[in-house]
Amino acid sequence: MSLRRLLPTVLALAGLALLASPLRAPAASDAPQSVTIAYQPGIGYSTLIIVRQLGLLEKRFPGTRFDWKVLTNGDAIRDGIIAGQIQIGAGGNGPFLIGWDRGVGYKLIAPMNVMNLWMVARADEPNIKSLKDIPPNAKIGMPSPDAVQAISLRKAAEDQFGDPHKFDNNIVAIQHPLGVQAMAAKQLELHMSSPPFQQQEVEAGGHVVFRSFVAFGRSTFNSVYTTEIFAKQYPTFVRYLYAQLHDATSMLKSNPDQAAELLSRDTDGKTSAAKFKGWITARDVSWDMTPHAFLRTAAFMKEIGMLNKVPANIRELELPMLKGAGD
Amino acid sequence: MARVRRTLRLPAVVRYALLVAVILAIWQAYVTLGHVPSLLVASPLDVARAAWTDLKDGHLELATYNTLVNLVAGMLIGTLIGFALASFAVFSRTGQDLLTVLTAVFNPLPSIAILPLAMIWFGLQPKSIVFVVALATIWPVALNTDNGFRTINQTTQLAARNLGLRGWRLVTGVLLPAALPSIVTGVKAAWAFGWRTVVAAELIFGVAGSAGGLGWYINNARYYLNTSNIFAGLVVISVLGILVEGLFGFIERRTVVKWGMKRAG
Repeated sequence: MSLRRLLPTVLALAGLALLASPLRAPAASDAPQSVTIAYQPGIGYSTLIIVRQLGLLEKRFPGTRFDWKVLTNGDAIRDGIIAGQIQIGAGGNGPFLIGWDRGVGYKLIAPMNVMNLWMVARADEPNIKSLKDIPPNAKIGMPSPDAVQAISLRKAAEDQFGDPHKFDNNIVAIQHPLGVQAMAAKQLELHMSSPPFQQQEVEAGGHVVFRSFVAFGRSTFNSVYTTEIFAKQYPTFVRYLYAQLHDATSMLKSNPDQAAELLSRDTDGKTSAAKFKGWITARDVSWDMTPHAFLRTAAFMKEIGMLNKVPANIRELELPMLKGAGD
Repeated sequence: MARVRRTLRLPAVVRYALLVAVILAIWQAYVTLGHVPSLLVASPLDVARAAWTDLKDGHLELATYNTLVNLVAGMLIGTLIGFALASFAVFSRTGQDLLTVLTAVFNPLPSIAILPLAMIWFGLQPKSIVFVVALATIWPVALNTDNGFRTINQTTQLAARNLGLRGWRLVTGVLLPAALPSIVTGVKAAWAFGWRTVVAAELIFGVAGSAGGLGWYINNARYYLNTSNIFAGLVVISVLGILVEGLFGFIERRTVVKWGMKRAG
Protein backbone atom coordinates (compact mmCIF):
# COMPACT_ATOMS: atom_id res chain seq x y z
CA MET A 1 0.00 0.00 0.00
CA SER A 2 2.59 2.50 1.15
CA LEU A 3 4.78 2.25 -1.91
CA ARG A 4 1.84 2.40 -4.22
CA ARG A 5 0.69 5.52 -2.46
CA LEU A 6 4.15 7.01 -2.76
CA LEU A 7 4.48 6.62 -6.49
CA PRO A 8 2.04 9.33 -7.65
CA THR A 9 3.84 11.73 -5.33
CA VAL A 10 7.21 10.87 -6.82
CA LEU A 11 5.80 11.32 -10.32
CA ALA A 12 4.26 14.66 -9.39
CA LEU A 13 7.59 15.82 -7.97
CA ALA A 14 9.41 14.76 -11.12
CA GLY A 15 6.87 16.77 -13.12
CA LEU A 16 7.38 19.81 -10.94
CA ALA A 17 11.12 19.59 -11.38
CA LEU A 18 10.67 19.50 -15.15
CA LEU A 19 8.57 22.68 -15.00
CA ALA A 20 11.17 24.67 -13.06
CA SER A 21 13.40 26.39 -15.59
CA PRO A 22 16.66 28.31 -15.13
CA LEU A 23 16.73 32.12 -15.17
CA ARG A 24 16.85 34.00 -18.44
CA ALA A 25 18.61 37.31 -19.14
CA PRO A 26 16.86 39.87 -21.37
CA ALA A 27 18.57 42.97 -22.87
CA ALA A 28 19.67 46.00 -20.82
CA SER A 29 17.19 48.78 -20.08
CA ASP A 30 16.82 51.81 -17.87
CA ALA A 31 14.80 50.61 -14.93
CA PRO A 32 13.01 47.44 -13.90
CA GLN A 33 9.23 47.26 -13.78
CA SER A 34 9.38 46.27 -10.17
CA VAL A 35 12.15 45.78 -7.71
CA THR A 36 12.22 44.20 -4.28
CA ILE A 37 14.85 45.50 -1.87
CA ALA A 38 15.35 43.42 1.25
CA TYR A 39 17.27 44.23 4.40
CA GLN A 40 17.29 43.19 8.03
CA PRO A 41 16.47 44.74 11.39
CA GLY A 42 19.25 46.67 13.11
CA ILE A 43 21.44 49.74 12.89
CA GLY A 44 23.60 47.99 10.26
CA TYR A 45 20.94 48.74 7.65
CA SER A 46 20.65 52.46 8.42
CA THR A 47 22.18 53.45 5.07
CA LEU A 48 19.47 51.60 3.17
CA ILE A 49 16.74 52.82 5.51
CA ILE A 50 17.81 56.44 4.86
CA VAL A 51 17.67 55.83 1.10
CA ARG A 52 14.19 54.42 1.62
CA GLN A 53 13.06 57.31 3.79
CA LEU A 54 14.35 59.97 1.36
CA GLY A 55 12.36 58.32 -1.43
CA LEU A 56 14.71 59.55 -4.17
CA LEU A 57 14.80 56.16 -5.93
CA GLU A 58 11.05 56.27 -6.27
CA LYS A 59 11.26 59.85 -7.61
CA ARG A 60 13.99 59.05 -10.12
CA PHE A 61 12.27 55.87 -11.41
CA PRO A 62 8.54 56.65 -11.28
CA GLY A 63 7.67 53.70 -13.54
CA THR A 64 9.16 51.17 -11.13
CA ARG A 65 7.15 49.53 -8.41
CA PHE A 66 9.29 49.42 -5.26
CA ASP A 67 8.84 46.83 -2.56
CA TRP A 68 10.94 47.21 0.59
CA LYS A 69 11.09 44.12 2.77
CA VAL A 70 12.58 43.58 6.21
CA LEU A 71 13.61 39.94 6.68
CA THR A 72 15.18 38.58 9.82
CA ASN A 73 18.29 36.89 8.45
CA GLY A 74 20.74 37.00 5.59
CA ASP A 75 19.91 33.47 4.48
CA ALA A 76 16.29 34.36 3.82
CA ILE A 77 17.43 37.29 1.66
CA ARG A 78 19.95 35.14 -0.20
CA ASP A 79 17.29 32.48 -0.83
CA GLY A 80 14.96 35.21 -2.10
CA ILE A 81 17.63 36.33 -4.57
CA ILE A 82 18.17 32.77 -5.78
CA ALA A 83 14.44 32.35 -6.25
CA GLY A 84 14.32 35.66 -8.16
CA GLN A 85 11.95 37.33 -5.70
CA ILE A 86 14.49 39.80 -4.38
CA GLN A 87 16.64 41.94 -6.68
CA ILE A 88 18.58 44.01 -4.17
CA GLY A 89 19.60 42.38 -0.91
CA ALA A 90 21.58 43.42 2.12
CA GLY A 91 23.30 41.33 4.72
CA GLY A 92 26.44 40.20 6.46
CA ASN A 93 29.48 38.89 4.64
CA GLY A 94 29.12 35.26 5.85
CA PRO A 95 25.98 34.34 3.91
CA PHE A 96 27.19 36.60 1.09
CA LEU A 97 30.47 34.71 0.67
CA ILE A 98 28.78 31.31 0.87
CA GLY A 99 26.32 32.39 -1.81
CA TRP A 100 29.18 33.69 -3.95
CA ASP A 101 31.03 30.37 -3.51
CA ARG A 102 28.00 28.28 -4.46
CA GLY A 103 27.36 30.32 -7.60
CA VAL A 104 24.41 32.57 -6.74
CA GLY A 105 26.03 35.04 -9.14
CA TYR A 106 25.77 38.19 -7.07
CA LYS A 107 28.30 40.91 -6.29
CA LEU A 108 28.64 43.88 -3.97
CA ILE A 109 27.02 47.16 -4.95
CA ALA A 110 28.56 48.65 -1.82
CA PRO A 111 29.47 47.77 1.75
CA MET A 112 27.62 49.97 4.25
CA ASN A 113 29.55 49.86 7.49
CA VAL A 114 32.22 48.46 9.74
CA MET A 115 30.96 47.23 13.09
CA ASN A 116 32.42 45.47 16.06
CA LEU A 117 29.94 42.82 17.14
CA TRP A 118 29.76 41.84 20.79
CA MET A 119 29.02 38.56 22.41
CA VAL A 120 27.12 39.54 25.53
CA ALA A 121 26.75 37.30 28.59
CA ARG A 122 23.71 37.55 30.82
CA ALA A 123 24.00 39.68 33.97
CA ASP A 124 23.53 36.61 36.20
CA GLU A 125 26.45 34.79 34.56
CA PRO A 126 29.29 36.81 36.10
CA ASN A 127 31.67 33.85 35.86
CA ILE A 128 31.66 33.94 32.06
CA LYS A 129 34.27 36.60 31.47
CA SER A 130 35.90 35.40 28.27
CA LEU A 131 35.55 32.61 25.71
CA LYS A 132 37.44 30.12 27.87
CA ASP A 133 34.83 30.44 30.65
CA ILE A 134 31.92 29.34 28.46
CA PRO A 135 30.54 26.10 29.95
CA PRO A 136 30.00 23.20 27.52
CA ASN A 137 26.21 23.32 27.86
CA ALA A 138 25.83 27.10 27.57
CA LYS A 139 23.70 28.33 24.70
CA ILE A 140 25.01 31.09 22.45
CA GLY A 141 22.33 32.78 20.36
CA MET A 142 23.27 33.92 16.82
CA PRO A 143 21.28 34.71 13.70
CA SER A 144 22.49 31.58 11.89
CA PRO A 145 25.40 29.13 11.82
CA ASP A 146 26.89 30.81 8.75
CA ALA A 147 26.52 34.37 10.04
CA VAL A 148 29.55 36.59 10.50
CA GLN A 149 29.05 36.22 14.26
CA ALA A 150 29.58 32.46 13.99
CA ILE A 151 32.55 32.83 11.67
CA SER A 152 34.39 35.28 13.89
CA LEU A 153 33.70 33.04 16.90
CA ARG A 154 35.18 30.06 15.01
CA LYS A 155 38.23 32.10 14.08
CA ALA A 156 38.73 33.11 17.71
CA ALA A 157 38.18 29.50 18.83
CA GLU A 158 40.88 28.37 16.43
CA ASP A 159 43.29 31.10 17.51
CA GLN A 160 42.74 30.57 21.24
CA PHE A 161 41.98 26.85 21.54
CA GLY A 162 43.18 25.36 18.26
CA ASP A 163 39.69 24.08 17.46
CA PRO A 164 37.46 26.24 15.26
CA HIS A 165 34.46 24.04 16.03
CA LYS A 166 34.81 24.23 19.82
CA PHE A 167 31.56 26.18 20.20
CA ASP A 168 29.56 24.74 17.30
CA ASN A 169 27.37 22.69 19.65
CA ASN A 170 26.56 25.78 21.70
CA ILE A 171 25.20 27.79 18.80
CA VAL A 172 21.45 28.32 18.69
CA ALA A 173 20.03 29.93 15.56
CA ILE A 174 17.83 32.81 16.63
CA GLN A 175 16.89 36.18 15.15
CA HIS A 176 18.30 39.25 16.92
CA PRO A 177 15.06 40.60 18.47
CA LEU A 178 14.01 37.12 19.66
CA GLY A 179 17.51 36.56 21.02
CA VAL A 180 17.22 39.66 23.17
CA GLN A 181 13.95 38.26 24.56
CA ALA A 182 15.51 34.83 25.08
CA MET A 183 18.31 36.46 27.08
CA ALA A 184 15.75 38.23 29.27
CA ALA A 185 13.87 34.93 29.70
CA LYS A 186 17.16 33.18 30.65
CA GLN A 187 16.94 30.73 27.76
CA LEU A 188 20.30 31.84 26.42
CA GLU A 189 23.45 32.34 28.44
CA LEU A 190 25.11 34.38 25.70
CA HIS A 191 23.99 36.27 22.63
CA MET A 192 26.01 37.63 19.76
CA SER A 193 23.97 40.01 17.66
CA SER A 194 24.65 43.50 16.36
CA PRO A 195 23.92 47.12 17.24
CA PRO A 196 21.54 48.22 18.72
CA PHE A 197 20.64 44.83 20.23
CA GLN A 198 24.06 44.35 21.81
CA GLN A 199 23.87 47.81 23.40
CA GLN A 200 20.38 47.06 24.75
CA GLU A 201 21.67 43.87 26.36
CA VAL A 202 24.56 45.68 27.97
CA GLU A 203 22.18 48.41 29.18
CA ALA A 204 20.13 45.57 30.74
CA GLY A 205 23.17 44.56 32.78
CA GLY A 206 24.93 42.10 30.47
CA HIS A 207 28.68 42.18 29.94
CA VAL A 208 30.77 41.78 26.79
CA VAL A 209 32.71 38.50 26.52
CA PHE A 210 34.07 38.72 22.99
CA ARG A 211 34.26 41.23 20.13
CA SER A 212 34.29 40.30 16.44
CA PHE A 213 37.25 42.59 15.58
CA VAL A 214 39.41 40.21 17.63
CA ALA A 215 38.96 37.66 14.83
CA PHE A 216 39.54 39.56 11.56
CA GLY A 217 40.32 43.11 12.62
CA ARG A 218 38.16 45.93 11.33
CA SER A 219 35.67 44.19 9.07
CA THR A 220 32.70 45.10 6.94
CA PHE A 221 29.49 44.06 8.63
CA ASN A 222 26.69 44.65 6.11
CA SER A 223 26.71 45.19 2.38
CA VAL A 224 24.20 45.76 -0.38
CA TYR A 225 24.40 43.34 -3.27
CA THR A 226 22.65 42.30 -6.45
CA THR A 227 23.10 39.69 -9.15
CA GLU A 228 25.43 40.42 -12.05
CA ILE A 229 22.52 39.68 -14.37
CA PHE A 230 20.46 42.44 -12.77
CA ALA A 231 23.42 44.86 -12.74
CA LYS A 232 24.07 44.26 -16.46
CA GLN A 233 20.41 44.60 -17.30
CA TYR A 234 19.77 47.82 -15.37
CA PRO A 235 23.15 49.60 -15.08
CA THR A 236 21.57 53.05 -14.68
CA PHE A 237 19.41 51.86 -11.84
CA VAL A 238 22.25 50.15 -9.98
CA ARG A 239 24.55 53.18 -10.43
CA TYR A 240 21.86 55.49 -9.09
CA LEU A 241 21.32 53.23 -6.10
CA TYR A 242 25.08 53.29 -5.48
CA ALA A 243 25.04 57.10 -5.55
CA GLN A 244 22.14 57.13 -3.08
CA LEU A 245 23.99 54.80 -0.74
CA HIS A 246 27.00 57.08 -1.02
CA ASP A 247 24.94 60.15 -0.06
CA ALA A 248 23.30 58.30 2.83
CA THR A 249 26.72 57.22 4.10
CA SER A 250 27.91 60.85 3.98
CA MET A 251 24.85 61.90 5.92
CA LEU A 252 25.45 59.26 8.60
CA LYS A 253 29.01 60.51 8.98
CA SER A 254 28.64 64.27 8.73
CA ASN A 255 25.05 64.91 9.71
CA PRO A 256 24.05 62.26 12.26
CA ASP A 257 21.23 64.46 13.53
CA GLN A 258 19.40 64.39 10.22
CA ALA A 259 20.18 60.67 9.77
CA ALA A 260 18.84 59.88 13.25
CA GLU A 261 15.70 61.90 12.47
CA LEU A 262 15.07 59.80 9.34
CA LEU A 263 15.74 56.53 11.17
CA SER A 264 13.35 57.54 13.93
CA ARG A 265 10.72 58.37 11.31
CA ASP A 266 11.21 54.85 9.90
CA THR A 267 10.05 53.43 13.26
CA ASP A 268 7.08 55.85 13.28
CA GLY A 269 8.75 57.67 16.13
CA LYS A 270 8.71 54.62 18.43
CA THR A 271 12.44 54.97 18.89
CA SER A 272 13.62 58.53 19.45
CA ALA A 273 16.08 60.31 17.20
CA ALA A 274 18.29 60.90 20.21
CA LYS A 275 18.56 57.15 20.77
CA PHE A 276 19.41 56.56 17.11
CA LYS A 277 22.01 59.29 17.20
CA GLY A 278 23.69 57.53 20.11
CA TRP A 279 23.73 54.24 18.22
CA ILE A 280 24.95 55.50 14.84
CA THR A 281 27.75 57.50 16.44
CA ALA A 282 28.81 54.72 18.85
CA ARG A 283 32.50 53.91 19.10
CA ASP A 284 32.26 50.44 17.56
CA VAL A 285 30.21 51.64 14.59
CA SER A 286 31.52 53.38 11.48
CA TRP A 287 30.01 54.14 8.10
CA ASP A 288 32.33 53.04 5.35
CA MET A 289 31.71 51.99 1.75
CA THR A 290 35.08 50.32 1.28
CA PRO A 291 35.10 46.52 1.65
CA HIS A 292 37.10 45.43 4.69
CA ALA A 293 38.37 41.92 5.55
CA PHE A 294 36.37 40.04 2.89
CA LEU A 295 39.47 38.24 1.63
CA ARG A 296 40.74 37.35 5.12
CA THR A 297 37.31 36.10 6.12
CA ALA A 298 36.98 34.05 2.92
CA ALA A 299 40.42 32.50 3.41
CA PHE A 300 39.47 31.35 6.90
CA MET A 301 36.08 30.04 5.70
CA LYS A 302 37.88 28.02 3.04
CA GLU A 303 40.30 26.71 5.65
CA ILE A 304 37.50 25.31 7.83
CA GLY A 305 35.55 24.01 4.85
CA MET A 306 32.76 26.59 4.73
CA LEU A 307 33.86 27.68 1.25
CA ASN A 308 35.14 25.61 -1.65
CA LYS A 309 37.12 28.43 -3.23
CA VAL A 310 38.41 31.87 -2.32
CA PRO A 311 38.28 35.05 -4.39
CA ALA A 312 41.71 35.71 -5.95
CA ASN A 313 41.17 39.44 -5.46
CA ILE A 314 38.45 41.75 -4.23
CA ARG A 315 37.29 42.54 -7.78
CA GLU A 316 35.74 39.07 -7.97
CA LEU A 317 33.28 40.18 -5.30
CA GLU A 318 32.59 43.73 -6.50
CA LEU A 319 30.52 45.42 -9.15
CA PRO A 320 32.50 48.01 -11.19
CA MET A 321 31.37 51.02 -9.09
CA LEU A 322 33.70 49.99 -6.30
CA LYS A 323 36.72 50.08 -8.66
CA GLY A 324 38.56 47.27 -6.91
CA ALA A 325 38.86 49.14 -3.64
CA GLY A 326 39.21 47.38 -0.32
CA ASP A 327 40.23 43.92 0.80
CA MET B 1 -5.99 1.07 -6.43
CA ALA B 2 -6.50 0.85 -10.19
CA ARG B 3 -7.17 -2.59 -11.59
CA VAL B 4 -3.91 -3.24 -13.35
CA ARG B 5 -3.96 -6.02 -15.90
CA ARG B 6 -1.21 -8.43 -15.07
CA THR B 7 0.66 -8.13 -18.35
CA LEU B 8 3.92 -8.09 -16.45
CA ARG B 9 4.09 -11.06 -14.15
CA LEU B 10 6.68 -9.56 -11.84
CA PRO B 11 6.61 -9.44 -8.04
CA ALA B 12 5.43 -6.12 -6.65
CA VAL B 13 8.82 -5.24 -5.17
CA VAL B 14 10.54 -5.63 -8.54
CA ARG B 15 7.89 -3.51 -10.26
CA TYR B 16 8.31 -0.75 -7.68
CA ALA B 17 12.08 -0.89 -7.90
CA LEU B 18 11.92 -0.63 -11.70
CA LEU B 19 9.65 2.38 -11.48
CA VAL B 20 11.93 4.08 -8.95
CA ALA B 21 14.94 3.38 -11.19
CA VAL B 22 13.15 4.93 -14.17
CA ILE B 23 12.22 8.02 -12.17
CA LEU B 24 15.79 8.38 -10.90
CA ALA B 25 17.10 8.07 -14.46
CA ILE B 26 14.72 10.79 -15.68
CA TRP B 27 15.74 13.01 -12.77
CA GLN B 28 19.46 12.49 -13.46
CA ALA B 29 18.98 13.10 -17.17
CA TYR B 30 16.99 16.26 -16.48
CA VAL B 31 19.76 17.68 -14.31
CA THR B 32 22.66 16.63 -16.56
CA LEU B 33 21.11 17.40 -19.93
CA GLY B 34 18.91 20.31 -18.89
CA HIS B 35 21.82 22.32 -17.44
CA VAL B 36 19.86 23.05 -14.29
CA PRO B 37 21.94 25.05 -11.81
CA SER B 38 23.08 22.57 -9.15
CA LEU B 39 22.17 25.28 -6.65
CA LEU B 40 18.50 24.65 -7.38
CA VAL B 41 18.23 20.94 -8.11
CA ALA B 42 20.76 18.31 -7.10
CA SER B 43 21.12 15.22 -9.26
CA PRO B 44 20.49 11.78 -7.73
CA LEU B 45 24.22 11.05 -7.97
CA ASP B 46 25.08 14.26 -6.07
CA VAL B 47 22.49 13.38 -3.48
CA ALA B 48 23.89 9.88 -3.08
CA ARG B 49 27.40 11.30 -2.75
CA ALA B 50 26.29 13.88 -0.14
CA ALA B 51 24.37 11.24 1.80
CA TRP B 52 27.33 8.86 1.69
CA THR B 53 29.75 11.52 2.96
CA ASP B 54 27.49 12.42 5.87
CA LEU B 55 26.80 8.76 6.64
CA LYS B 56 30.50 8.04 6.77
CA ASP B 57 31.25 10.76 9.30
CA GLY B 58 28.11 9.98 11.30
CA HIS B 59 26.35 13.31 10.73
CA LEU B 60 23.27 11.81 9.17
CA GLU B 61 22.97 8.95 11.67
CA LEU B 62 23.20 11.38 14.58
CA ALA B 63 20.53 13.65 13.07
CA THR B 64 18.27 10.65 12.43
CA TYR B 65 18.85 9.37 15.96
CA ASN B 66 18.01 12.76 17.47
CA THR B 67 14.83 13.02 15.46
CA LEU B 68 13.76 9.49 16.39
CA VAL B 69 14.47 10.11 20.09
CA ASN B 70 12.26 13.20 20.04
CA LEU B 71 9.60 11.35 18.08
CA VAL B 72 9.54 8.24 20.27
CA ALA B 73 9.54 10.24 23.50
CA GLY B 74 6.72 12.44 22.26
CA MET B 75 4.72 9.51 20.90
CA LEU B 76 5.10 7.48 24.11
CA ILE B 77 3.81 10.34 26.22
CA GLY B 78 1.06 11.14 23.74
CA THR B 79 -0.03 7.51 23.39
CA LEU B 80 -0.15 6.95 27.14
CA ILE B 81 -2.23 10.09 27.70
CA GLY B 82 -4.44 9.14 24.76
CA PHE B 83 -5.02 5.67 26.24
CA ALA B 84 -5.76 7.11 29.65
CA LEU B 85 -8.28 9.56 28.21
CA ALA B 86 -10.02 6.83 26.19
CA SER B 87 -10.12 4.40 29.16
CA PHE B 88 -11.53 7.11 31.41
CA ALA B 89 -14.13 7.84 28.77
CA VAL B 90 -15.30 4.22 28.75
CA PHE B 91 -15.91 4.17 32.47
CA SER B 92 -17.54 7.48 33.14
CA ARG B 93 -19.82 10.05 31.69
CA THR B 94 -17.47 12.83 32.77
CA GLY B 95 -14.62 11.05 31.02
CA GLN B 96 -16.62 10.86 27.83
CA ASP B 97 -17.51 14.55 28.04
CA LEU B 98 -13.90 15.43 28.78
CA LEU B 99 -12.69 13.50 25.76
CA THR B 100 -15.32 15.11 23.54
CA VAL B 101 -14.47 18.62 24.71
CA LEU B 102 -10.69 18.18 24.60
CA THR B 103 -10.63 16.60 21.16
CA ALA B 104 -13.04 19.22 19.84
CA VAL B 105 -10.70 21.95 21.05
CA PHE B 106 -7.28 20.46 20.35
CA ASN B 107 -7.72 18.06 17.44
CA PRO B 108 -8.19 20.79 14.79
CA LEU B 109 -5.10 22.63 16.08
CA PRO B 110 -2.01 21.71 14.07
CA SER B 111 0.25 21.03 17.01
CA ILE B 112 3.15 22.76 15.26
CA ALA B 113 1.19 25.97 15.89
CA ILE B 114 1.78 25.36 19.61
CA LEU B 115 5.56 25.39 19.12
CA PRO B 116 6.03 29.13 19.76
CA LEU B 117 4.22 28.65 23.06
CA ALA B 118 6.25 25.55 23.87
CA MET B 119 9.43 27.52 23.16
CA ILE B 120 8.42 30.08 25.79
CA TRP B 121 7.50 27.37 28.29
CA PHE B 122 10.37 24.95 27.82
CA GLY B 123 12.98 27.05 26.11
CA LEU B 124 15.05 26.22 23.05
CA GLN B 125 15.39 22.58 23.95
CA PRO B 126 14.32 19.18 22.63
CA LYS B 127 11.67 19.28 25.40
CA SER B 128 9.68 21.77 23.33
CA ILE B 129 9.74 19.40 20.35
CA VAL B 130 8.72 16.41 22.49
CA PHE B 131 5.84 18.48 23.84
CA VAL B 132 4.40 19.34 20.44
CA VAL B 133 4.86 15.77 19.20
CA ALA B 134 2.99 14.46 22.26
CA LEU B 135 0.23 16.95 21.58
CA ALA B 136 0.04 15.80 17.98
CA THR B 137 -0.30 12.13 18.97
CA ILE B 138 -2.73 12.27 21.91
CA TRP B 139 -5.86 12.94 19.86
CA PRO B 140 -5.63 10.33 17.12
CA VAL B 141 -4.79 7.69 19.75
CA ALA B 142 -7.57 8.80 22.12
CA LEU B 143 -10.24 9.05 19.43
CA ASN B 144 -9.41 5.75 17.76
CA THR B 145 -9.03 3.87 21.04
CA ASP B 146 -12.32 5.27 22.29
CA ASN B 147 -13.96 4.27 19.05
CA GLY B 148 -12.42 0.79 19.38
CA PHE B 149 -13.72 0.39 22.93
CA ARG B 150 -17.15 1.55 21.90
CA THR B 151 -17.54 -0.79 18.96
CA ILE B 152 -16.63 -3.94 20.90
CA ASN B 153 -19.21 -6.63 20.55
CA GLN B 154 -21.82 -6.26 23.32
CA THR B 155 -21.76 -10.03 23.98
CA THR B 156 -18.02 -10.00 24.61
CA GLN B 157 -18.36 -7.16 27.06
CA LEU B 158 -21.27 -8.72 28.92
CA ALA B 159 -19.50 -12.04 29.12
CA ALA B 160 -16.46 -10.34 30.61
CA ARG B 161 -18.57 -8.49 33.15
CA ASN B 162 -20.36 -11.75 34.03
CA LEU B 163 -16.96 -13.25 34.73
CA GLY B 164 -16.53 -10.46 37.23
CA LEU B 165 -13.91 -8.45 35.34
CA ARG B 166 -13.87 -4.82 36.37
CA GLY B 167 -11.74 -1.71 35.94
CA TRP B 168 -8.17 -2.12 34.88
CA ARG B 169 -8.50 -5.91 34.37
CA LEU B 170 -11.45 -5.38 32.08
CA VAL B 171 -9.38 -2.92 30.03
CA THR B 172 -6.25 -5.05 29.74
CA GLY B 173 -7.94 -8.46 29.50
CA VAL B 174 -10.82 -7.76 27.16
CA LEU B 175 -11.16 -4.22 25.90
CA LEU B 176 -7.57 -3.76 24.71
CA PRO B 177 -7.27 -6.95 22.64
CA ALA B 178 -10.78 -6.51 21.25
CA ALA B 179 -10.12 -2.91 20.30
CA LEU B 180 -6.67 -3.63 18.92
CA PRO B 181 -7.47 -2.95 15.24
CA SER B 182 -8.69 0.56 16.13
CA ILE B 183 -5.75 1.11 18.44
CA VAL B 184 -3.28 0.15 15.73
CA THR B 185 -5.08 2.52 13.36
CA GLY B 186 -4.83 5.23 16.02
CA VAL B 187 -1.13 4.71 16.63
CA LYS B 188 -0.54 4.67 12.88
CA ALA B 189 -2.34 7.99 12.52
CA ALA B 190 -0.41 9.30 15.53
CA TRP B 191 2.87 8.28 13.92
CA ALA B 192 1.91 10.12 10.74
CA PHE B 193 1.06 13.29 12.68
CA GLY B 194 4.04 12.94 14.99
CA TRP B 195 6.54 12.38 12.20
CA ARG B 196 5.43 15.45 10.29
CA THR B 197 5.38 17.49 13.47
CA VAL B 198 8.86 16.50 14.63
CA VAL B 199 10.49 17.39 11.32
CA ALA B 200 8.58 20.65 11.07
CA ALA B 201 9.48 21.60 14.65
CA GLU B 202 13.15 20.93 14.00
CA LEU B 203 12.99 23.12 10.93
CA ILE B 204 11.64 26.02 12.96
CA PHE B 205 14.27 26.01 15.65
CA GLY B 206 17.44 24.05 15.69
CA VAL B 207 20.05 23.51 18.29
CA ALA B 208 23.23 23.15 16.31
CA GLY B 209 25.54 20.20 16.62
CA SER B 210 24.77 17.43 19.05
CA ALA B 211 21.04 17.98 19.57
CA GLY B 212 20.06 18.71 15.96
CA GLY B 213 17.71 16.33 14.16
CA LEU B 214 16.84 15.80 10.50
CA GLY B 215 14.87 19.04 10.25
CA TRP B 216 17.90 20.90 11.52
CA TYR B 217 20.13 18.94 9.14
CA ILE B 218 18.02 20.16 6.22
CA ASN B 219 17.89 23.72 7.48
CA ASN B 220 21.61 23.73 8.12
CA ALA B 221 22.24 22.51 4.58
CA ARG B 222 20.10 25.39 3.37
CA TYR B 223 22.15 27.89 5.36
CA TYR B 224 25.23 26.60 3.58
CA LEU B 225 23.44 26.30 0.24
CA ASN B 226 24.34 22.60 0.02
CA THR B 227 21.38 21.64 -2.10
CA SER B 228 22.42 18.00 -2.41
CA ASN B 229 22.43 17.69 1.39
CA ILE B 230 18.93 19.15 1.56
CA PHE B 231 17.86 16.40 -0.82
CA ALA B 232 19.77 13.79 1.19
CA GLY B 233 17.86 14.80 4.33
CA LEU B 234 14.57 14.53 2.47
CA VAL B 235 15.50 11.09 1.16
CA VAL B 236 16.27 9.86 4.69
CA ILE B 237 12.94 11.20 5.96
CA SER B 238 11.11 9.48 3.14
CA VAL B 239 12.94 6.16 3.53
CA LEU B 240 12.31 6.14 7.29
CA GLY B 241 8.65 6.82 6.59
CA ILE B 242 8.49 3.82 4.25
CA LEU B 243 10.26 1.61 6.81
CA VAL B 244 7.90 2.54 9.62
CA GLU B 245 4.86 2.00 7.39
CA GLY B 246 6.32 -1.42 6.63
CA LEU B 247 6.80 -2.05 10.35
CA PHE B 248 3.13 -1.25 11.00
CA GLY B 249 2.13 -3.58 8.16
CA PHE B 250 4.24 -6.32 9.74
CA ILE B 251 2.68 -5.77 13.19
CA GLU B 252 -0.79 -5.83 11.69
CA ARG B 253 -0.12 -9.04 9.81
CA ARG B 254 1.19 -10.66 12.98
CA THR B 255 -1.74 -9.57 15.13
CA VAL B 256 -5.06 -8.28 13.91
CA VAL B 257 -4.84 -9.81 10.42
CA LYS B 258 -3.70 -13.17 11.78
CA TRP B 259 -6.52 -13.16 14.33
CA GLY B 260 -9.03 -12.44 11.60
CA MET B 261 -9.99 -9.03 13.00
CA LYS B 262 -8.93 -7.17 9.91
CA ARG B 263 -8.53 -8.24 6.32
CA ALA B 264 -5.08 -8.01 4.78
CA GLY B 265 -4.73 -4.65 3.02
